[in-house]
Amino acid sequence: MRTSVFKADSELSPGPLKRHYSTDEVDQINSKHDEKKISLHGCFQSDNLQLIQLHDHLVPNADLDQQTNTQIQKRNAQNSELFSHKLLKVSQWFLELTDDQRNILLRELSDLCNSSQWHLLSTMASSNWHRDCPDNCCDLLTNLPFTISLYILSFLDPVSLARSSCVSRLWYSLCSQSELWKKFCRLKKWHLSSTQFDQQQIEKYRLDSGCFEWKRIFIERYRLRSNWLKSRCSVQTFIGHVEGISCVQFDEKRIISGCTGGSIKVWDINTTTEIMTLVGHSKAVRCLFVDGLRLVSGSNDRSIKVRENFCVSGSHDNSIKIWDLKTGQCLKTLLHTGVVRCLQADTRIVLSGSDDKTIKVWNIETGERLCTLRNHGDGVTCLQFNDYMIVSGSYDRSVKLWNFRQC
Amino acid sequence: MATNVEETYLYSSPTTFKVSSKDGEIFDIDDSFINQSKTIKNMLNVLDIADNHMPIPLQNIKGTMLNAAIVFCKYHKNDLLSIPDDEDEDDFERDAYEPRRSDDISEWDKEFIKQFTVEEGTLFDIIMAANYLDIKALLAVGCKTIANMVRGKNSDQVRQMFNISYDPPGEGLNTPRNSVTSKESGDNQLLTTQEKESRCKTPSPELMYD
Repeated sequence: MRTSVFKADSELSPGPLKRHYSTDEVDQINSKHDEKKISLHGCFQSDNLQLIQLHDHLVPNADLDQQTNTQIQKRNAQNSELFSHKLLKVSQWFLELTDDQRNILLRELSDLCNSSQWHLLSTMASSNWHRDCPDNCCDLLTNLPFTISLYILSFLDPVSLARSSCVSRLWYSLCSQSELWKKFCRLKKWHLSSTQFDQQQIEKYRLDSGCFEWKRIFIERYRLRSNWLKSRCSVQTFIGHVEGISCVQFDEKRIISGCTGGSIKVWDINTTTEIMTLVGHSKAVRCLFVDGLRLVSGSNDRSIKVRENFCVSGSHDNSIKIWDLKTGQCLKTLLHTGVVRCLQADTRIVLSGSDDKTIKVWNIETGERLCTLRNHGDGVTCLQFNDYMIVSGSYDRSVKLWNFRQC
Repeated sequence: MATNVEETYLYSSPTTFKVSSKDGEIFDIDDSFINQSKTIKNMLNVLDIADNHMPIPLQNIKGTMLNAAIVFCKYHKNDLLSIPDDEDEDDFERDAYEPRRSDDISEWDKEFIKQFTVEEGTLFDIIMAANYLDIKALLAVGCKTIANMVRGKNSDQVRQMFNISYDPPGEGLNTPRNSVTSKESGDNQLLTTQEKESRCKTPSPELMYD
């Protein structure tokens, strides 16, 4: 320790010729020190440097005559002796301090530094950030108790959380905690269109242990949402119809399309190949309804069709046809009294709206007409129903709610 | 109800107690501190401290942190009622529909927490102190501050901020996967961090968080 201090001192006070210390020179000097004490010496060296700069002002250039130089050298020698004495004392004091006290002292000293010392400190410090610190010395999340780390992360938004998970493996495992992501999935913003879809999607990620992979559930929703918003999608084309398409429906496996020529085609949603063609309507198919394995069709031929594994179609031929999607057979033909504009079915009934201003309710199994609802003043163009009510729209410029609960 | 009466009895009188820190500093604490620090409150209920002059040793906390905590509690003694009951805090269902906010730190708290830094480890110390003393409000301010530091930064910046050495993925859970195949075969594999990050960087925040 002592020798190194002296050595540094003698290095730094050789003569007046030396002008400003370049960064390189400072580095060289530093490297001669015991490496471990580098930060300690930094402070004292900066003092030293200041001295030399002072001398610099006294000796503006190297061309001064010899006499002046020797005088100054003498003074320097005296100064350096005094200085090395002081330096030794300060170092000794410093070593007596506790860690905390040293930090306080350094902070105090840093207030006294001017630009020259700061320059030295920055060049010295940049290569020594956290030297001798244990790994991840400032990594709060790793060092804090698990529950607190989780508490901190619970304030983050999904994007920040995902980015944090890239910080390190430990952060990754912290950020992957299911509860954090569950919270996001529960937000209304991240719900899927219906609770049914919500549940279906969540069930996909059920683990054997009965827990859910909330992170992956959220990731899927996030991906979906951002793709929608950015209109990122792939387009597949199904070719085969010879006339314009008038209506389409789909389920998980199939796409069903009706065309103005009266034919209905069933497509494989994955391979884009045509599975079958349903022929039976004599005019344009107006509307289709497919439910799981069933399909209902309505046609301008005034008919609709339904079945297990069914499709119902309505057509301009005033018919509704119910198709078996396994065989492609038309199972039933229901005859409406006008062009079938719209229809919907569930497991029991088919509802069809028609140009004849009526909504007709059909039994899906027998094809029997259950009732006819009349109230619209013009053709019924669209309808939707559930167990309790029907909502329908019409050319008569009105929307009607048919409520079965209140009677 | 009975316990409430007992609590009131124990320190209803304008008492001050003494506590001593890890490094031997001794502080006077008053009601403001006792009421906010559950640890001290429970301690006083359990221990029968007749002699007020005997300091309670708090071996886990440095003097500077203890002092700061006392200052914090003094300032916050009046908004005691607004602090939510911590029993509900563990109930994840409760705030499931409401994201936790961290942008609601008051000006005074912001200034207060500024004296603690990541680099010196003091922010860590004050959070640990708040945790040990069980001062909810202080813990929340500390944690929110860290969350605010992390928010909006990329992983490089976070690593730099907390001096974290990067352990690049490539083995174990972090094995990178071809993202093209991820849609189909993803069911039995974990998503890699890269995938997630790249995905998160693409969508613009305006669209996501309008």
